[in-house]
Amino acid sequence: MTDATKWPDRKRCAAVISVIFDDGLDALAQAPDLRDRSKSFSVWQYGAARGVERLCRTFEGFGRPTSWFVPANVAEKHAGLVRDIAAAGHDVESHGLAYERYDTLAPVQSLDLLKRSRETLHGLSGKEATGFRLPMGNWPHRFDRLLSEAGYLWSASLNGDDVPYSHASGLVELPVHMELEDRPYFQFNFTPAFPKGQSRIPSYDGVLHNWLAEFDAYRAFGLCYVLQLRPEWSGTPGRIAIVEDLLAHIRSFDDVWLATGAMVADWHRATGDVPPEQHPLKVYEAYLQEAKNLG
Amino acid sequence: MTMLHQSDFLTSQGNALWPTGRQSAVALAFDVDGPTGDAMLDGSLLTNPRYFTQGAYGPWRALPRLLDLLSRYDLKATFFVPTWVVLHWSDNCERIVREGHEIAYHGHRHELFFECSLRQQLDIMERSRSIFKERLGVTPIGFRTPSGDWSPATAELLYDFGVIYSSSMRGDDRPYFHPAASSPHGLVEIPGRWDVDDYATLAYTEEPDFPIGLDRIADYRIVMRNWCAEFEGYHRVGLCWTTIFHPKVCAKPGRLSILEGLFLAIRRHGDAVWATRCGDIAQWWIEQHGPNANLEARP
Repeated sequence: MTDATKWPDRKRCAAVISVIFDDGLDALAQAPDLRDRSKSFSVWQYGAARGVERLCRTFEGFGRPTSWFVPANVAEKHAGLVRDIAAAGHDVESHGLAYERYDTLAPVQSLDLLKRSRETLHGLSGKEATGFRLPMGNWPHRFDRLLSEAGYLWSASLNGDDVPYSHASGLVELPVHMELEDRPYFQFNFTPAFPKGQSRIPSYDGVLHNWLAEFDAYRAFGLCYVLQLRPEWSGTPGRIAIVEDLLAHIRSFDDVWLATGAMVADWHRATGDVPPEQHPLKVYEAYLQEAKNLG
Repeated sequence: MTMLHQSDFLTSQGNALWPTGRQSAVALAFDVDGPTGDAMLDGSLLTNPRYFTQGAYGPWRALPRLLDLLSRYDLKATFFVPTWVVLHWSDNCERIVREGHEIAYHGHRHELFFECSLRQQLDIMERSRSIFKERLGVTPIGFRTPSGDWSPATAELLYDFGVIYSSSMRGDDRPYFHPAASSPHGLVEIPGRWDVDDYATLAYTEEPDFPIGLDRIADYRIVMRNWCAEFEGYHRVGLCWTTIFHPKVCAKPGRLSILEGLFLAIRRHGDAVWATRCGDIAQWWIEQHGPNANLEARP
């Protein structure tokens, strides 16, 4: 249970700052015609042009390594940026090869892409990529085994908890939550409309408040806070202040374990605990079995 | 369909609706849906573990923290729980009963009662009743219809089944009776409103998109102020306020601060607020108004 969770060095909670840098592939996956809509697509191209560098400068002041999830093809295209990110001490982790949907691929194909992604990222950053963030689509059943087989040690793709847990294969999951992402708050485009309802851009002050409220609660309960930023949404001159204020707040506590996803996953693996029967992961397996029995 | 409503002017005539010394009633109510609902019903959840785990977070992590918070403010609430959730998270559901809260019907897998035949509705109710009895040792008296609508015959079906109240409608700001052929009154209705459904401000899921327009997650402080304003409004006029909160939505770690602000606002009025379970309010309403319900009916 949560209260029994112990973090290293008697820290109260863990905090992982992560960045998803996909160079617009998530937008293209939803609206392929963006490729020919130059104005619209440039909204996403901003990330590589300016956002990555701006986030890196902010992290420099923060003084702690972060975890970046990058599709290997994007990393190749922006090899210079990826080398800079790695040289600044951050981890470069996999976000697939070309932002593919793994639930539409045969396992053997998936395995190939997952391996190639790791190899490419390794070649560019000089460090082993051990983490994975599912690009889009559903998590295929037993996908944890494929990831393990391809050499990954952890994922930050599913939900169900606010502390790490282990899949059947031993792959560690660092659960993520939409309220701790920037995209649901800030993504906006006129045509095509993202998000669908094309709702107003929210108060920056409100977004900062929500992220702070979550952090304070994660700290109070001893949980693992995983923030997910994107260069195109958070790496702008106006919004970088939100990131700076949040990071300053997090750093103001000396009982927070500021770590990368890989560090938290390593730590969790060492504890080796197995999820109990009522853990969402186990209940999901029971649900599949139930459906199978019903025919 | 005719509903049996109380007169609008009861309170202004000094004829208090609530027990002596109580100005208003609050029935905090939570729907512990977990991963049940549309995606489970149409089978798409089978291939979507991300969505499954998001729902499962409710009974697994959010519910225990919510129960802790309620206990800290000495508040009793009503939990509407699909019995599929009771089967898979029996321990946490047991805590609801053990700590003096009320547990009530909410379908087995959050079925759309509107789309079910009367036979199917009855099957769901019977299955739920036996699971509640077997796993938790209780027979609920309340019902909240999952996903909104039910069909015109449902109220009578539930009444004949032995349910005493429902908290499913939006048609008033105080309890009222559903009509019944066999009695002066049917089910007590404890209506809620979309204003106090946390989905309207805080829920956000992609694939499946929820809410469909994918409007932004609101500033937690604004949500708290709105909910407090709703509560204060009902209290001022002396009505009955209930909520449609979902632990997986409103009892995420940081959002407990919203609930805490609300609980503080309720507690600030001391005994002037009758903060209790839906079942208590329903019983009270029947005692006070049941025998004359038909006389108070309005067209």
